[in-house]
Amino acid sequence: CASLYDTKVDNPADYHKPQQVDDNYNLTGRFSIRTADKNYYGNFSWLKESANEELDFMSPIGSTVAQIKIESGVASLTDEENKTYSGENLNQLMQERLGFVLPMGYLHYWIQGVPLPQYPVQESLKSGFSQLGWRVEYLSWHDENHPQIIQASKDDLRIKLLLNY
Amino acid sequence: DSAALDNFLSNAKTMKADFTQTVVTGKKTRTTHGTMEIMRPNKFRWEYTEDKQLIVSDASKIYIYDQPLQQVTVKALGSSIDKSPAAVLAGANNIKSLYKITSVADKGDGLNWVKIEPKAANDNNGFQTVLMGFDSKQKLSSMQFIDNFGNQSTLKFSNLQTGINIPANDFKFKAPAGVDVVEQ
Repeated sequence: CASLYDTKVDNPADYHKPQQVDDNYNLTGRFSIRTADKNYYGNFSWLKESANEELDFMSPIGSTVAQIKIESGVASLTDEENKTYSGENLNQLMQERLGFVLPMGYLHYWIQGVPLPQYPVQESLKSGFSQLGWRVEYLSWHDENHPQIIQASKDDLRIKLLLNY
Repeated sequence: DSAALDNFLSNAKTMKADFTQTVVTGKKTRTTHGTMEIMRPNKFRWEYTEDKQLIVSDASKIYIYDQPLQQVTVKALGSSIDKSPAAVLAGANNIKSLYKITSVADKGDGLNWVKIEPKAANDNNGFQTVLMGFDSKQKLSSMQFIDNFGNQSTLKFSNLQTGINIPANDFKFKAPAGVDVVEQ
């Protein structure tokens, strides 16, 4: 499997803003999340249908380890032991139960390659932009309108998402 | 009956195969392909072709090399997170002590299915149900996993060879230069 080892990763293309953005999507991919002291890696599946969402976190080869559900604004999180926690503040739930916070509201736009429309872009970067204190960079693109690897970092949290197409 | 499983366990100290994996999560079905090599106990090499992901267990650590993300994740083999088809297959020699084995009604696919469930209630290693399907020659043809969230993944093996010589180096892993190596 030499090909797997010597494939060079070329540096990211310059950022360009995709044209269309969807309100709904049904994505799978891989995540690598680094906090100050821990690393999380695995697969994810993210289904969004307007106000309802289901985000599954899976171990590298398949079994689901956590699931976040949002039904018309009310969030719940189920962990590996199948215990479900719910509450208004999803970020707090994630921090307590998973050890990291995935800013899902922001990522709705960022994973589609665009900044949140209702907030200013603080700085445009060679491969992305910074917004709301986050650096959002697109390490590779699937095509004109679809990023493949997104990296969002803020303070000591670094989130890398690879989207399957 | 579990004769097929016993037969498989006794002469499959090593195995090698191509596989197709179909994972159903939520409303999405995704199929990927790869190759696997196993040397029992606990050594395996599991490579996903399209996803360019390589998972190697040298019986003490599991290395997950994600080439597109340029990262190697290292886990202890015993860690509860190594819930995977590969770990079940590679660790299978104590399958009879760890798992309750029952045969399953005919699925009409010509395979003889066996269900294996962890004996220890809480140690279901993330999988609610693991099914192994054997063909008429008692060769492992397919595996099915349903996790605690009802997500299902199915593996179909082809070109399966058992009891063959596999170079020891295939179960060793050295991170390529320049990639992040992170312990999980």
